Amino acid sequence: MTTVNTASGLQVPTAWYNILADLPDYVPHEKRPPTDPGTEADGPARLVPQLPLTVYRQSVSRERHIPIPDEVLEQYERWRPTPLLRARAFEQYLDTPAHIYYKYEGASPSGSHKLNSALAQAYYYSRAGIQELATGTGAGQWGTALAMACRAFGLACTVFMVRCSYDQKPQRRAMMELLGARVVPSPSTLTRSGRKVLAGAPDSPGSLSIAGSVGIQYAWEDSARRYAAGSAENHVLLHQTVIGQEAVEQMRRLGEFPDTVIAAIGAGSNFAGLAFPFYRESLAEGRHTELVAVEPKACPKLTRGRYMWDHHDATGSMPMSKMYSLGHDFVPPAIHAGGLRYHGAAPIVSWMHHQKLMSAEAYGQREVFEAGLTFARTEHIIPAPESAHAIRCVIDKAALARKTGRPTVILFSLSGHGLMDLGAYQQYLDGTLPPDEEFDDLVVDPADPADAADPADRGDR
Amino acid sequence: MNELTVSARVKRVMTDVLDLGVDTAQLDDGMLLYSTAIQLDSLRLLHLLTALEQEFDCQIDDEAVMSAELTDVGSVVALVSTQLGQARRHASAAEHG
Repeated sequence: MTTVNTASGLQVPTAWYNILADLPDYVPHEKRPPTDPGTEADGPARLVPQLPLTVYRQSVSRERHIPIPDEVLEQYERWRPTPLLRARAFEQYLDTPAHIYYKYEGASPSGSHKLNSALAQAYYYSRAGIQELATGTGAGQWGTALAMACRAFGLACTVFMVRCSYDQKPQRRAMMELLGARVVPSPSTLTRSGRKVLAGAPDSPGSLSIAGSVGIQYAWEDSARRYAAGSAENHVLLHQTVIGQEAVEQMRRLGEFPDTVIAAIGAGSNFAGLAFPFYRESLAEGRHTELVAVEPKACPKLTRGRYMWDHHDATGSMPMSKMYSLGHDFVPPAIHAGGLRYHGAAPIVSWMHHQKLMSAEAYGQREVFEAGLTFARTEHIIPAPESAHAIRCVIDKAALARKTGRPTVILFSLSGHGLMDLGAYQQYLDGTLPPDEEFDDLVVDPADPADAADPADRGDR
Repeated sequence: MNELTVSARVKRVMTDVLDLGVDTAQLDDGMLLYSTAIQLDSLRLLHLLTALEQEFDCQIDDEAVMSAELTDVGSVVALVSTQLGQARRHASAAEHG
């Protein structure tokens, strides 16, 4: 037997886990830039909250557990708990004494972990009287999830998809449109910020931060419309913690506990979803678990970025956060892991990295696809390129276990399947992916747009 | 609890939470939330509303916030007053129902 399915008989968590209750110090929250008091120059004349108040409460709460509404729980129960599987064939191929487990979020209807927050947000926005959600998406996993969630709660959905991913993954667009969403390539001429980008760079491949700017300006045009973010915000990380809570219980049933938890990072929701509950468990049980976030060399915000106040989007329409960033105007090379092409890391994840409560690794695209292929040929699941970053890191950890002979337990997030990424895998097989060496020369020099020692570090608690 | 009391308490919370550096009495109902004196933005508005929830021990409805015409100090007072009125009616209905 190559795998052990641990989902049977397991209940879906009834509350999200809030790591802010357990971190040893205050994590700076969002703020407006000092030069922008929120005038109507870039936004609507009246004050229009982008978040439902309930979601804002969640994002600043210090309660350890926040109940999941019944309506969201009913949706989760359609596919959760997701399986936690042991990759025995992969272990044998790697000739490692390590036990390698993975939490498979590709089992969700949208094919990735993103649906966990999309459903929660669509529920809260619909309850607040909002009729349409707009968003930006990279590879399309968040856009697909939001399209599906909007469908579930009766909302219209407009997705601004990063242009290079829009071109690379036409099936993603079809999937979102099939679910009733409108899909627009970004940068787009539909909004002022998109036109501005195109004027300077007509062939811009786009980025998640540009798509975010375009999406939020589009949302401003209608009072019944809002922008829903899917990666860096505190509440998004919170909603994803159903993943890790299930995994903690599944590992417990197996009588194992991970020495290392590994997940790919775009902004941090996938990493947080799996890792945060293990942080809690390690604290409670007095254990040490290494938490590792894996990013592309083409977008190395944790390994080469700076910890600073920066915007979440390209034009600075969104509030600023204290985070590891490559600069909000950084446009990464058009790698296939579109979900990881984000310039910054989530504020909570950034703070934990700054405090050395976790670590980060970066890999090139070819070595990541090689890892994904190895996993597919041993475990027979084709991982999304984003998830393959975690797998690449697992290979290194497994090799280390072989070298030291230490019986290590490794858990990683298989955050999505790669069935929408077959074109990219074909390029890898054909040998037409660009060499990884080009990312070594990547120019990364983020300018600090605000004083890093700003008194707002103390923030609104 | 009368309107004047609610208004004064809302303004006191606004002064404290937003660190306005002015006397509460100087906060006129007609002062624009975007004005240089208040400089409120949508993010700080949410922070203010959670502080008002604590002050009045109530929970402000998401839909009421999203649909409110929040332009000046008086509109924030009106939002809170309406929410408190609804909470009182619900409590009364529950008591008699």
